[in-house]
Amino acid sequence: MRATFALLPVLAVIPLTPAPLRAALAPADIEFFESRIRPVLAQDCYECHRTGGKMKAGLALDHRAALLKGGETGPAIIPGDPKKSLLLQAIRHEHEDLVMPKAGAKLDPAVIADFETWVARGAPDPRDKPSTEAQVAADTDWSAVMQRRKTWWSFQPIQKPTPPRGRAAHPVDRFLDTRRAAAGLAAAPRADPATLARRLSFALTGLPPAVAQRATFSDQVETLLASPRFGERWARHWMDWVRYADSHGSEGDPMIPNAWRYRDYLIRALNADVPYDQLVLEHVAGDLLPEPRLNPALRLNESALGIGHLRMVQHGFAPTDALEELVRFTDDQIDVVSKTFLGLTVSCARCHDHKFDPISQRDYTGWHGIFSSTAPALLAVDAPDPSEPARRAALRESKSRLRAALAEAWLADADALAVRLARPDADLQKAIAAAKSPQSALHPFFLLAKKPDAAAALEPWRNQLDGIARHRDRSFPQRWDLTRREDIAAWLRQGPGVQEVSTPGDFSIAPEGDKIVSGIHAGGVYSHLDSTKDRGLLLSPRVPLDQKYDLWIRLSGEGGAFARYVVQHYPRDGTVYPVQKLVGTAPRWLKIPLDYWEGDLVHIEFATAADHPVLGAAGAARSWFGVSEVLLVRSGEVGPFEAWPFAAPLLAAISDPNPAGADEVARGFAHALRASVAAWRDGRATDGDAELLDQFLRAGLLRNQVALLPAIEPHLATYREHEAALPTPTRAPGVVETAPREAPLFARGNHKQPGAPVPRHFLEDIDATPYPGPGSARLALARDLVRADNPLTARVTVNRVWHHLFGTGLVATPDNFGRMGATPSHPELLDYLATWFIEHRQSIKALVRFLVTSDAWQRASDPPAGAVEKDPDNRLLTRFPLRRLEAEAIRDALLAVAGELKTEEIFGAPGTGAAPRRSVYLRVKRNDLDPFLGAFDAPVPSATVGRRDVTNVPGQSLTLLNAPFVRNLAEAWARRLAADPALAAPETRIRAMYAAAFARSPTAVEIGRATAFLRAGVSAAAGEAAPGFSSRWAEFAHALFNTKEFLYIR
Amino acid sequence: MPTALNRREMLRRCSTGFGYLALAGLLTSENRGAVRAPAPHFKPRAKNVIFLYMSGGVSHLDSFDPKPLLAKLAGQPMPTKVERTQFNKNGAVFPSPFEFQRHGASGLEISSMFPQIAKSCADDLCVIRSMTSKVSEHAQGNYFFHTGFPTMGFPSAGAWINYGLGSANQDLPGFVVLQSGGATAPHGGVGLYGNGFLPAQHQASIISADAREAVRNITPREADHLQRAQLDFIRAADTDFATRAAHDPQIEAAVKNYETAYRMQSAVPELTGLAGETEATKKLYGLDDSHPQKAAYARQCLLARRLVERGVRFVELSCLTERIGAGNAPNPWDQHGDLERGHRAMAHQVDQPIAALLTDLKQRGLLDETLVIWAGEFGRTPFSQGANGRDHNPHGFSIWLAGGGVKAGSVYGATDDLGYHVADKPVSVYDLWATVLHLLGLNHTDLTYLSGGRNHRLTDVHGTVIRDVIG
Repeated sequence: MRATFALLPVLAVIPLTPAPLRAALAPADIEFFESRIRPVLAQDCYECHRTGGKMKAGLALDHRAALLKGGETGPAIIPGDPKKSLLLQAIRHEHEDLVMPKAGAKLDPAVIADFETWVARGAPDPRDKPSTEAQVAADTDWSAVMQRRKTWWSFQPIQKPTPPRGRAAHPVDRFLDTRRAAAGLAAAPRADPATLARRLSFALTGLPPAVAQRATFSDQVETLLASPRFGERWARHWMDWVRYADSHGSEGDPMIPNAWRYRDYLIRALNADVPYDQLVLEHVAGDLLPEPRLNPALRLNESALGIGHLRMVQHGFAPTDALEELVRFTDDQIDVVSKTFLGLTVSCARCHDHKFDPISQRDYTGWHGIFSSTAPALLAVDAPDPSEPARRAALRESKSRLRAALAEAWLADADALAVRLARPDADLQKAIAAAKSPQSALHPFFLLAKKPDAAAALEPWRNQLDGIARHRDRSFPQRWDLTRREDIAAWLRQGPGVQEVSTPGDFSIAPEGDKIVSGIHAGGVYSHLDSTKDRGLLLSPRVPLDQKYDLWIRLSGEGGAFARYVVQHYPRDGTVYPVQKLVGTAPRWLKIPLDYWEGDLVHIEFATAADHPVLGAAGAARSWFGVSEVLLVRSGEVGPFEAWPFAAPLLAAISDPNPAGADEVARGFAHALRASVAAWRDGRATDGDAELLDQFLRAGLLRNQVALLPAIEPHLATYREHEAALPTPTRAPGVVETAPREAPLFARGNHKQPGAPVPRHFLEDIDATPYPGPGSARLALARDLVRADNPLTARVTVNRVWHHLFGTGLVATPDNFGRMGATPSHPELLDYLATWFIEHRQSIKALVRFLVTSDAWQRASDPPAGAVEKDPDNRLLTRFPLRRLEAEAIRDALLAVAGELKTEEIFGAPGTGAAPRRSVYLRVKRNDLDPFLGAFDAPVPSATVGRRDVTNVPGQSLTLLNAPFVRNLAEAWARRLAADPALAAPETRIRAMYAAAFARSPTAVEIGRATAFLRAGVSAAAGEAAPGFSSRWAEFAHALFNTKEFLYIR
Repeated sequence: MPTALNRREMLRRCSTGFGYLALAGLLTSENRGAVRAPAPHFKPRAKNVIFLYMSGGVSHLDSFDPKPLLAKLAGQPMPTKVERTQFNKNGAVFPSPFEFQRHGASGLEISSMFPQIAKSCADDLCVIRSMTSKVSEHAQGNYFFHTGFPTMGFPSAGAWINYGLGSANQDLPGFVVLQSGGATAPHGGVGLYGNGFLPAQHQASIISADAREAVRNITPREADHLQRAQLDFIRAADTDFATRAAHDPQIEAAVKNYETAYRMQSAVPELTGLAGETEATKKLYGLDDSHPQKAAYARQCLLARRLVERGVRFVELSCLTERIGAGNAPNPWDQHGDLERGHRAMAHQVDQPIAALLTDLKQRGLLDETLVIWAGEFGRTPFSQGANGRDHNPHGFSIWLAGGGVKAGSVYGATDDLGYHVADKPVSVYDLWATVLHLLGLNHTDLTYLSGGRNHRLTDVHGTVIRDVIG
């Protein structure tokens, strides 16, 4: 056959030499070719078939002669004969080997028709030479490609079709009936009430119906929609869309702290029927909404929980290429958001313009800029507490009373200090003996005890004053002086303590115990001045490491607060990603080498113990950090001067540069202490005063116990009462805004070849206007996702709901509405529903109600005559599609029927498969997925899954036959039944079991079969290793679990 | 034992056996991935693959890639730029503590780490000394090596091959992962063996070669006559249901599935019980070895031969940890410290069993049609980590192929004089799999599956068949 093609046309066509033909082309022919044929050839074929290009199979399609000459399999076209033209056979997918475009979607029927017309007209083609690079570039120019691709159905505005005329009352049925009738097919009748009750209960709640369902269908619908189980069922669908996971995967597979709060948020939102567009906003920018949705009962900012899915990305362990990791996990976010809400594969445009859809690499890069302008974090998701400002004011007031009272007591201590130092008691002697370092305020007395040379004892401190000044004047490649408001302003700050720089002398109070003051601090940023329960999160601006640096931080902290550098937003720790855990750390300089990360982008991050984006899960509820200075120093250069600010007031108080002896030093100390206390009392303390007081407190030279200061007690009690009443923050996974960043276009997706930055924007196809700063522009993106002229979001959503109710979407590829996706089986119905949805407050419950009350949804699953032959895939919905239950529904049904399901154990931290909770509450640990759910096609959480696979593998049968989990449930069910005196009679019990398992009564045959089964082979033969069930009833219960009727809904 | 008889009888009566069979084929509809009848694209050289995965990263410098320069520069700082390492504890140039010698007629250089392989199999190996990876981290490296992508969610090579060729034996799954002793999945977990977006029957079945229950839930919990009676009841109920459901093919397939599962219950123990293997064979592999890890690995090797004999397309083996120098169960070869002792112990574990496997396959005429791949996720650095370990090195390392039509007794590609980067003929994971697919008669650019809006390949958009390793 091929040989024939190869020979005939050559003979027929060659005499018509190309050149003179051009003049003969009619203007209409040229117009037709230029508008309908050339763009398709250029954009869909040239990549492989162009002169000077790949020339696959020896074929070029870029000029007339080449088409006529053809390639290895013969001429591409035979002018005048579309049927015999290989090109036409290939694009019609009629040729057994040639299926074109390769790796692409079949061309539109209209385009194929154009080619037929063109070839039939003699294939008039003005291209008498191979196309030049410039011509090809023009023909394949993105705007030209885009214009053609924009004609795909899903990018057209949503129409508002009127339902066709028809007998059916329900508009959905009139659409369906019209198409079905046109195909000459009848519809199945309404299913019987028992079948319907079971179908409805599983569809709406994922659980078998309550036994003895007597309510009308519409009452059942209302009951189930109002059931808290509705949200559990539909949240699980949603979790598939956003690849919900409780851990990050890879080596170590760390948990995502509090991921489950996002799952609970979904359940509550769906039960509360929050409008869909609101949920979309919350999924992209819930933390940024000017008027967030608050939950007063749970004291939660529900909206902020919505972005939790952005953290459900996979993270490698200690990647040496941090930018690649950032690019990859940002891509994951883009992929999920675009597929879930737009039904578009925006990620396919990561390395080049999309191959099939009107999505450019610039679009992708714009989104990359949006999502990479955020950093992984745990968010506080508490609803603002109206009483909190007053409580904090009262708490601070109690602190100022404490300060006044303490100052009074400490002035008295200062008066006694000279004598105490001169004649130290045993405790003080011990403290002095320990003061080996000049960083200790008692160090001079340590030296004096060895050698009575007062001048020498002060010598180590004298150099201090110069050093402090030199440090102040030194310039660093990067310096943040966090005692200065201007410097802290550039940092991202979350938590009540870290919003402002502190005043030297600000202090913290122990929340319990005999000790009163826990610290008096120099200037800086402190997370705990109100309470160590307060969260603190500080992120520096990002710094490009243009050479090798050391990071120096002056900080203090306790309780396991974190200090670290963060490379390219990578949130995990390990090897080259160290974290510093602050455990009883007094103010000091910490040096962290950054030389390894030369060339990367880093920021510095401080977080209270429970607020590290990954390690926070195990963090203590109380912790704090304080930071006063952050520096970058070139590798190899000397670090910052280690200052001891407390030395300044002490030295200042000893006026004689050569004090006569220890007594004079002691008097100077007393004088300095008195002055520092007074300054502190009056709110004019310096860093030196503050650290001096702190040192003296630690040395036991200032009274700091309730027992010794009874007058303080009432103020302390007031503080502690307010502190105790402050709420512990509720934390949930999310992201925080960093400085906006326009991402560079990576050449061929290679992150090591950054090109020009691309402004953040939506999709050019809908709106190319750049998003303005400040911030990541997530809110703008979120609003564009739900804007009225966006043709995708509403269609995608109603299709998802349709898919879950009818088993197959009107568009069979719910995650892909692009060129490689399916076209809608009922386009008008899809648009009608999208419009209906928008007009009905985007209420998912209303849409579910609307759809399940259609006749189509209530039909029997038995195919009417001719339906299987004419419509094997049931796209015309002549009957309700028979479907296997999803993994979670199977597990939940087993538990429910056995009477073991704890429906009251809702929300909260996830459990393992052994827990008798609904499956939506099971842990989704990426490297340890639940084997039961996995066997029944629960998705691997790696990408959006709008349509699960339904496989049939022996592992499923083996699980149901042999898994102890299933068998134990059979035993439990049998025991429960046996304990019910009302079910003592075997037939009654059999009836009860059929009702529970299948929501119907058994037939007489079934009762007979069951009775026979129960009577047979009473027990295992003696000596058999496998013990089997404890009773025939358990054996029978297990048999029912294994029937297909149990596993399928009709 | 009437029980066993019944099961065996059942087995005889039914032509189809256990495994993730093409039952799902009955259900394939809708416009998801391309549906093609599994078959090679052209005449294959190999029919099956045995993948000896050396998880954790074997040092090429101590096994198959001798570098005399390292001895000359011993203890000196690296003379070239040092790339980022995962631990950043980079020390001086670290010569191999193992000795290399030429072996066999081919004169292939193999170190004293692998005396048995060197002695009996040198002329069977095709060593690729220019392997590269993009990742220097275990989990991502494992995913990358298995799937071509560094994260979970993509099909494993075994799943692709199973999808491409179908099962040669309807009684067995096409893709099996063997474990024994304390062996576990490498870092990244069992997702490494997943089907990704391919239909689920292509995922690996994990067989614990020496466990009481070799496959999860494979052991019946009650006497056969009781289970048979129960199955009869279930079948009767299902027949009613199928009738009510107008014999929906889904139901019919699910019913058949129960018989398959039933037969699996006895077929699996027969397979893993090594029935019919002589003592001499067991001894050849080292099943009698006093070192438990070695005996356990030997059992995997013998079982691997039994599986390919029965037509299983792709068998992957799992090393066991010797608990030396950061080498734990998921990454036993990972000697960041104590490299000599750790590598010696690991090599002792696998050397004799692998040599026996190659010998046995050859004796049975199976080596020609079985492609054996020996590889880890990366090599190790020519400079030390700490005192006596080596860090990960994805820039150039060694793997070897044997059987299945490869050029036996040959070396392909080279690293630089330090054994740090590839200096000649770099091979990517995509090139490797393109070549493996080619040997199996599959064109890697044509083995595609539509998912997420595009046609995916095991070789992504890369991969070149390495003609020079083909015999």
